[in-house]
Amino acid sequence: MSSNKIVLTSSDGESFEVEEVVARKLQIVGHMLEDDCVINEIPLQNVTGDILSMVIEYCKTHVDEEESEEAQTKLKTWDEEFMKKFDIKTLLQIILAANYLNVKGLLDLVSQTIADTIKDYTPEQIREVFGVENDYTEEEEAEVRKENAWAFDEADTPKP
Amino acid sequence: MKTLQQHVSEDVSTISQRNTRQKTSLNNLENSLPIPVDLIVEILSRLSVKSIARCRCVSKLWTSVLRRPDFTELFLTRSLARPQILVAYQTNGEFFFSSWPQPRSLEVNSSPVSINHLKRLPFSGPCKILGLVQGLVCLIDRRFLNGRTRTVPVICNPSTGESLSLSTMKTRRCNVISFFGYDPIEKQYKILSMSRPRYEI
Repeated sequence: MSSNKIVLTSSDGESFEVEEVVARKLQIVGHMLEDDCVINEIPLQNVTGDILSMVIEYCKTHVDEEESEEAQTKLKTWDEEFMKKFDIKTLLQIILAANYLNVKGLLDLVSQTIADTIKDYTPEQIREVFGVENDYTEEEEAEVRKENAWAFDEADTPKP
Repeated sequence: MKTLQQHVSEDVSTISQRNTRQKTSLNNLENSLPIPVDLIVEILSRLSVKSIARCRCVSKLWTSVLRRPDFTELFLTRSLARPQILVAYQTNGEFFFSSWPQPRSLEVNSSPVSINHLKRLPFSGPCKILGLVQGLVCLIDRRFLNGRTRTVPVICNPSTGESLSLSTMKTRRCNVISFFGYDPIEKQYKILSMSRPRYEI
C-alpha cells in the first residue's frame, strides 16, 4: 500500500509524484484518500509548485517519526536547518500552505520560526511584512505607543 | 529591508533549481496574500509579552486580536510549557522582579541561565506577597487610611509593570486573611478575603 504513488498538482500546474505515505502527511490529501476512491492525481489549488515542493520535502523527512530520543534530536536539527533556508516572506507562504494542506507539524514549526524572526521587529517592519494597514489615527498611535512605551525601551534592565 | 532578509541563506539554491527561481519571484510578491487571523494568533501567541506589546502598536485589528480571551488562553498554555522561576525582593521602597527558565530536572545544573530583569514597582509601606498565579503577583499592601491601617490587595504583572489596586474590605476587624487564585471555569482571577477577630486562633 505504501508503495502507491500519488501525483500532487500545484496551482501553477507543477506535478509531484510522491509515495502515498508521504501524501497522507498532508491531511487534506489523507481525507480525500479515506473516501476509498482510487485517486491518482490530486489538484491542490491554493499552493504553488515552489511552496508545495518544500512542504513535500518536510513530509518526506517526517514520514517515519520514530519515538527514540536520538531520532527526535536528529529531526529537530533537520527542522532548524530547513527553516534557515527561508526568508520571512517565504515563511509566510509556507505557513499559508501548511494551514491549507493541514500539516500540523510544519504549521507548528513555521509558526515558531516566524515568531522568532519577528520578535524584535518594530511595528513598521511588522506592517510591511504582514501587509497590515495602519488603521490608527496619528493621535491614537501616539497614545498606544505611550501605553506600551516600556516595550520599546531596549535598556530596560532594572537592577537593585 | 536588510534585517527582514537576514534568514535568507545562500544555500537556498541547494534545495533545487526551482527554488532559486522562486526566491526571486517571492521578493517581488508585495504582500499579495493576507494572513488569516487564526494564523496571526498562532504566530503571536508564541511571542514574549514585550514583543506582544509592540504588536499592539501595529493596528487596531491586531490589538483587538491580542485582547481576545482565546488569545490570552493560548498564550498562557504556551507559557506553561516553558516554566520560569520568579524571584521578588523588596528594597528601598520598591519591589524588584526577576525570572529565569526553570531547569528541566532537579539535578545541579552547571549551565549558565540568563536572568530576565522584569519591571520594578514602587511600594511605600511594608507589604507581603500573597500569591502568584500565571505570572500575576498579588501583593498585600498595608496603607494608613482614615486613621487606621487598611489591607489593600494589589495585583501586578511584573512582565508589563501594570498594577491594579483593589478596594479594601469593609470591616471593623483589623485581621484580614486573603487568598489569590484562578477560577478556570469562569476564567477569572479571584481574591478571597476573610476577616476574623484579632484574638481568634
